[in-house]
Amino acid sequence: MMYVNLFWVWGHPEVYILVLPAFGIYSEVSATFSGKPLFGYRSMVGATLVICVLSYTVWLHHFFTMGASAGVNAFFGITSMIIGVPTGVKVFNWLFTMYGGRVRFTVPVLWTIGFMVTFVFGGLTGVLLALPAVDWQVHNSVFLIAHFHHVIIPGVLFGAIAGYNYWFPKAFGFKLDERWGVASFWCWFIGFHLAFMPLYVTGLMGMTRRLQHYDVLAWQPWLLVAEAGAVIILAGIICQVAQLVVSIRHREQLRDTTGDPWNGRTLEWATASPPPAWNFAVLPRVDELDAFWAKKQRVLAKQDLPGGRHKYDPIEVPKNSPTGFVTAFFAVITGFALIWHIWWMAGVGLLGAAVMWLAFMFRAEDEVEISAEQVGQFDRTHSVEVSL
Amino acid sequence: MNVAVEMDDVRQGELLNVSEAGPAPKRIIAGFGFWIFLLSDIVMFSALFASYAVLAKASAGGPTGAQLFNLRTAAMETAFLLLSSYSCGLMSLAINSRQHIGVYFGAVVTFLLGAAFLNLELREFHDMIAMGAAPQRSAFLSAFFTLVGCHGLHVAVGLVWLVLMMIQLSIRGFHGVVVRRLHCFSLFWHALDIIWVLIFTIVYLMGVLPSLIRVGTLHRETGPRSRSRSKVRPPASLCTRSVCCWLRS
Amino acid sequence: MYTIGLLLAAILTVTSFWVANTSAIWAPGVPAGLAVLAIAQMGVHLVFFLHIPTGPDSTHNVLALAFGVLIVFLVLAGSLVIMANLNENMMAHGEMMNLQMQR
Repeated sequence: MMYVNLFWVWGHPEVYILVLPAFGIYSEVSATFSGKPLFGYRSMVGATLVICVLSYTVWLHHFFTMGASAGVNAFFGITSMIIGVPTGVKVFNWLFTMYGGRVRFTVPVLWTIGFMVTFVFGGLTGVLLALPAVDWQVHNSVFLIAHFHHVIIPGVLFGAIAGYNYWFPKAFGFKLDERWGVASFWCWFIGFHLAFMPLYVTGLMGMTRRLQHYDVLAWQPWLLVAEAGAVIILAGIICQVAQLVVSIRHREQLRDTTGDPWNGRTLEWATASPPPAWNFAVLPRVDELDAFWAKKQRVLAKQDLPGGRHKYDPIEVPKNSPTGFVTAFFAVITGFALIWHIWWMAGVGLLGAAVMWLAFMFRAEDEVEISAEQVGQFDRTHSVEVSL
Repeated sequence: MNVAVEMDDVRQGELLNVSEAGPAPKRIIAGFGFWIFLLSDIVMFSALFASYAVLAKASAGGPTGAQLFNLRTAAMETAFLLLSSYSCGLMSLAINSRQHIGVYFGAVVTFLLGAAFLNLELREFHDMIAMGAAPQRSAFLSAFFTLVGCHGLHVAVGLVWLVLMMIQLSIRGFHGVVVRRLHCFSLFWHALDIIWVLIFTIVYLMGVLPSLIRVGTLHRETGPRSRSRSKVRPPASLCTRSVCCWLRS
Repeated sequence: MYTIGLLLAAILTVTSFWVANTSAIWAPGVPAGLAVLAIAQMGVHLVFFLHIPTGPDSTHNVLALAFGVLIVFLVLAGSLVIMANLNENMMAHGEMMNLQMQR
């Protein structure tokens, strides 16, 4: 049980580690495509901090049934319910961001709205499970499976896909195909609900998790629906692959020439797509949130020049190195070998990592200086056209 | 205290606004990043401490802490690490003043003291295993070897790192990168001493105390002899007696 | 700076060893005393060796440390409380032997 205890001390904060970056993506996407600043920025930050601390106070809810007394279970049950509050604050902030704005229903926004609709219900089932008495009934049933998929998939996965669609043009210089994106979203959204909602029902009917086969006839209609949902999700994944293939094939039509394909609010859209290694030729002056948007407003009001003559200085950037990748590769080998007690392999892994580390430690140059001429030349040929 | 430490500071009063200041000096960034890593390492150690605290009484009828721990050895190990922290501090001062000799001297002393610590600890482990108190013997021993062994592994890695840093220093001199890395090393080394303070307090000092004071640990022993064994350990756990037993065995 | 730290740490260390071995202190208070001394010595290390509250850019370092201490406290206290609680709810040894003998 000590192992289980320590595992979940890590395991619960882990799911918040997964979801908080996705929440960040939703904040960016909802603000940009509503044409409004993010509502309640400070309360967003506060809610994130509260989640950071509270996520370390709930872990026992993963093993309510393992013999702790009622007092201990009750404490963790209460904290598990409390932790829903800051997340609720965030959801309200996203809703208020979109309220009163001119929402453009691009693919990232579809994923965001899909998240908001789905995640709230998943979170509610979490509050249900936070009650030890309820949890005792459904622990290790597929009700639990339905719950955590109901939060992780809209929370983390939809966020990842929204971010993928949103920043793809910045990273690669061309947008992703819109129609295949919409198709993949709807397949995922419908497929997800068909696949997991029946599990709440079968969970309450007594179906446990990790079954290899089942022989309760009453579950079958529900599980057939779930299977259909899984197939539709597969179709959604195929649509995503198709989206990528089609986009690469049509990349010239989809090319992002301005650096600002979405009429963005934040500074990453003030660089070329893809950006150079040094990002900004001149360090931008930042006085407020949504700095790029503020600059655009000043240009519109003719108070500022779009781009303009800059004095360029040489810029120091870190020198590229494969160390991270190679060390990680050897770390995987070492970890695998240690699990299975393959001592020679563990030695090989450690040695490889050590050699790579030494090579990195003793490299002659840590930074590369980009000359002022190179910076200036790139900046002049790739000036970002402010979307007006 | 140390004028040279102020070298990398950004003078706040001269700045107009934050964005014009640019990023913080590299030394501060490197120090903060390494400090965060150290905190995560300390969290890992806290998990090992928690396991040890829970399992400290689970000796499965085998040797207990009171029977195994030699407080004189622990005291010497503590002295070695504490003095090596001090010599590491002197090394940091020499780095700030850019004095090669001082740095090498501080490094050598730190290394020797750290190696002496490791030597004592390895001999302790060896003797324990030789008398049958191996990590597999009981949960208490597994927890002990994991916790103290992990700390020892960190010390060993630190010593290797120190040697490599001295090589770097001789090749590249007081280059900015080298100074930052040495700063990270000294953070690491001092943190190890802090962990050791906790180890010798919780493992060695509390390990030889009479058992009725322990809170929240398994007070039931497994094994065939557990029913006849009383919960209160006889006061043969005092330092001198266990040293005698130790020396005789 | 470092010398003061060394002296303080040495004093605290010697005191810890003395506390563990003497009968001059009320026995149940000994672990608490040791804990206090250990925490004090950690503080000495942090201030005199690591310059945590006084070095450059100390605000970030202190905040990070505070968060780290919070997590460590939660992990340790939580684990101890939970494991003690679970242990208490385990079947007593005698009852388990009775079960086995019921053939």
